[in-house]
Amino acid sequence: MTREEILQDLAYARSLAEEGRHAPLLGGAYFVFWGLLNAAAFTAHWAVLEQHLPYMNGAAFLAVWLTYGVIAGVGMSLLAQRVRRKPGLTSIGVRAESAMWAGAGLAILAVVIGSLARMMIYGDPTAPNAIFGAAFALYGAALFGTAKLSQQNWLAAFAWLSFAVAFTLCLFANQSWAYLNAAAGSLAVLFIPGLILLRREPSSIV
Amino acid sequence: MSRFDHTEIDDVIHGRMRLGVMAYLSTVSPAPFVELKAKVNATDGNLSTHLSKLEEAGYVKIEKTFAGKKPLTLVHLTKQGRAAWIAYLDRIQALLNAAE
Repeated sequence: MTREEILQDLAYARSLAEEGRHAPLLGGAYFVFWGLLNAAAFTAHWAVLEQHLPYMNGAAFLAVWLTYGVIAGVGMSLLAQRVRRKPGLTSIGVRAESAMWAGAGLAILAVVIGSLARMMIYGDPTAPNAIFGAAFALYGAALFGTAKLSQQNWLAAFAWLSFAVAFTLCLFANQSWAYLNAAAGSLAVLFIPGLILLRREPSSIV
Repeated sequence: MSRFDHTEIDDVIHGRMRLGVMAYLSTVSPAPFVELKAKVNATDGNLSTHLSKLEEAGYVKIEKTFAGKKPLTLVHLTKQGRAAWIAYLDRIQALLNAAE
């Protein structure tokens, strides 16, 4: 065995390790799903606030967000089945992406539960308006972490955009049009990068 | 005289196919058998033979499971395997440096 043969073997090993290291991310369908669902829910919420949809003594909000919860649950179940069949599922980048978004999801859930509890216990109807600012800040953190850990640095631009949306939502939290801002933000920071990721996603092993 | 001594290299890893398997598993683990087969361009039988050698050495673990109703074979890189892979790379590096 010569030095040159060893070097050729190492180059081969390196190329395979690089393939795993740079495997495409598989979260595109999730991003598209949540981008569209959030945009629809935020728009519906705004429409109720502005009485473009019937208010029904506040029951309309319950209807909007219960429908959101049901669609989210069914959608996540279907998406999990879809992703399970994709190659590269256990690559470092995909695992990092999965962990970042699972963490962000749990953090958002904590904010949602806390805000709803505040609304019910203290009778503060504006308490849920704290959710979307925090949510976009956490989207930004997850996008930023995913970008760096998976070396997909283009995603970081969407993280900064998400931070900007979070800033405006915190600043104008109690304005009804902030929900339209959140709807547009969902399309910008989730739906669009989701489409880009979907286009790069492998349909089969190559 | 060159100080390059290939007998110092871990033979379990240093077949070209096994080298490819270990390299890929170092970044994707567990990897489905079919994915690994495509990556290292092997046949079922050939890859199975090489995986058996790696499994005997404790470097990989084979898990047979199901994805829905379809059988799925997953290949895991073990802690021992990762340590052996790192030691292998260190050894190669040292040998190449010594041979210069």
